[in-house]
Amino acid sequence: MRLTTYLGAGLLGLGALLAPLAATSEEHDAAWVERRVQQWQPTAKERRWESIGWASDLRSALRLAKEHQRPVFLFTLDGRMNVGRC
Amino acid sequence: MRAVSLSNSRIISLLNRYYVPVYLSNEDYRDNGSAPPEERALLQRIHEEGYAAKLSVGTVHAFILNPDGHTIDSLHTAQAAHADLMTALLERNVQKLNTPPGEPVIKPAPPSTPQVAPGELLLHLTARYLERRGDDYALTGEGENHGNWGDLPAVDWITLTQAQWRKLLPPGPARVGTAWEVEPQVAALLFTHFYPPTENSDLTTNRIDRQSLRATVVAVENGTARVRLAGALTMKHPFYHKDDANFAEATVLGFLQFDTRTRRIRSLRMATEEATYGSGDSRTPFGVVVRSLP
Repeated sequence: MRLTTYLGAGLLGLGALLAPLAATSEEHDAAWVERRVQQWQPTAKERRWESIGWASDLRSALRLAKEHQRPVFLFTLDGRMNVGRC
Repeated sequence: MRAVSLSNSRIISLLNRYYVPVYLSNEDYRDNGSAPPEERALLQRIHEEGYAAKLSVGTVHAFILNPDGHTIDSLHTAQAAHADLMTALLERNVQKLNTPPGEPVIKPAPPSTPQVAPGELLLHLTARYLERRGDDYALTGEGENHGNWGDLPAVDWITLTQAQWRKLLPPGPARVGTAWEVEPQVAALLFTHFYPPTENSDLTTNRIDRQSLRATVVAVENGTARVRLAGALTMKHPFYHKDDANFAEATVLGFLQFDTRTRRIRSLRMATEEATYGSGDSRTPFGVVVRSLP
């Protein structure tokens, strides 16, 4: 996916997005930070992929496939899926 | 793919009931990667079998291997990210192989929390794109599945040694009003992770052009001191694995509490107040939050 494609939709109304927030750090306190920390954690919906039972590596997957007579689903990717940097 | 196909209930059920799912990071299979020779040989063989069968083959793919480990089907990630195409891939191969349903071979579990050595400080960082809603920001994709991989946050684990996290504390006794600039080398250990999800997670490609992290003791009470952290960052971060003109810019606010007797950090919380990523006029908001564990 190209960055321009991804950013495209989000950049509609860019002027509004870039408008400075009313509050400054002087007006934010520890409770505000705590709320942000809670609000921006990964949600249950965002963590659904974790409900897949992933094998730890390719060799383990092949061994388990043979043992249980199941096919292997192999996903190869750039980045790190377990931390979402992908 | 994580945001759509791998978050789809039907696909999750198919993978758990009929398949042995596994994923791998291409970084581990490049020249300096950590994948052992046996795994590299397996991946090479899977690719060669795909070519021989005239299947789609590449580095970002979904492959189906039969129970004997041979390549029988594939889909490029761009297609596999569509739930209908991915579902069709999984269903046709289950039917072809006549695989009976069953319990997951591997019990699903969230990624484990990294282990740290005694005295080290473990931090959990979440970075995500945001949408401006009124006077505040909202999570992207909230309420409906937009299907964009950027809808999902990135998570990083940061470990600070005792020598590093002590630089976040005042050099002398904790007195209200004491202020200091956190050493840039230590601030950079945090700030280098302050970028939204992109296709590039190589921290060595980040270049901090401007940073500050000002610490001030704002309260001392009952053996606990509270330190306010106010920072700003301008960091070049290429979106892909090649140079570009994208920068992350952020203002940051945080608070930490430490025991004035033992000088151990009890908690640390940080959040971006405003942050944008992109180049020129093409910038989009994102947010980063950091919390210490436990």
